Amino acid sequence: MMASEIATVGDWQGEADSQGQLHIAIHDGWARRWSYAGRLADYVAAYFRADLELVGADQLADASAFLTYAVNEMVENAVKFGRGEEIELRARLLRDHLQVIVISRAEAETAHRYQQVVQELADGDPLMLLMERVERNAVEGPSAGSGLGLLSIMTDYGASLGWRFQHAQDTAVAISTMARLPINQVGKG
Amino acid sequence: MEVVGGDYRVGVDSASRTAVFSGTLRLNGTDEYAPILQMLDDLLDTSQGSNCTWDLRELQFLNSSGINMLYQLVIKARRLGNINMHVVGSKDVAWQGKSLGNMSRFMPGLELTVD
Repeated sequence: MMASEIATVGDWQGEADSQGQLHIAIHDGWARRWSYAGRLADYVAAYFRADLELVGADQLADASAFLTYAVNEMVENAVKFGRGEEIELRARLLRDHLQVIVISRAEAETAHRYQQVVQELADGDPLMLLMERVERNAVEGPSAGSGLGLLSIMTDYGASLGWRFQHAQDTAVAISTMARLPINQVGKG
Repeated sequence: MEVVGGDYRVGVDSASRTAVFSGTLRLNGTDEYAPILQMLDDLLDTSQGSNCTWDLRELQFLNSSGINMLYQLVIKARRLGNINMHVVGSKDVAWQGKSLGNMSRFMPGLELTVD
């Protein structure tokens, strides 16, 4: 069944439906395997290393750092807000950017709240939002999540983020999160 | 004092009021960070009127929950107002070059050294 679109938010790029250069499906039960998100992120960074080496040393370091951090945060979010089902990761190096997409399914109510949260991120200034969020965390004390993962992908790594929400089977909503890091491929013809 | 996990260690030397971090910290949210947070919070309390150093040079990775923990402690130090915070990082560790600079935003007097 083709999923019907509910909304796109932020810097979502339509061509994302094509297959990724790296395409990994992670089956259910991930809530018990939290620490694997980091190992998966390390793997994705290692996978793109050879291609990125053509780009130049500074960008290699920046791009690897972005993959290691962003993949870990995006998969952690998918585990946190998902309903324990399959998580899909697609990553590819395009002419002028690195693109990572993580797709998971959430309950409709969770997805609706998540959509409001990411709409706020897309509409605001990321650094201002990060500063406000950290100060708010200090006042409010421990909570379920720091809220810093997505914001820091934008503020600290200079990546853009976009989201797509689609109806999936039964009442679930498929949430796709896309992170894109600009790349200057000077070494390639 | 120290907190040691599968692939990380955070140790505190009370005499020099220094916390040394190493390895990879990707714990799951506030609950799993609680033992480290408690130890670092105690270190801040005993550093009042003096200096406190975090040596992060050997910490290869820190997830956003861990970064949030450090920012919260920096804000606490700012509010206490009587601690000279010194954070030491390494430019060879990618996340440190990206995220440590924010600490000075939360505590303008913080001394940040990234070599």
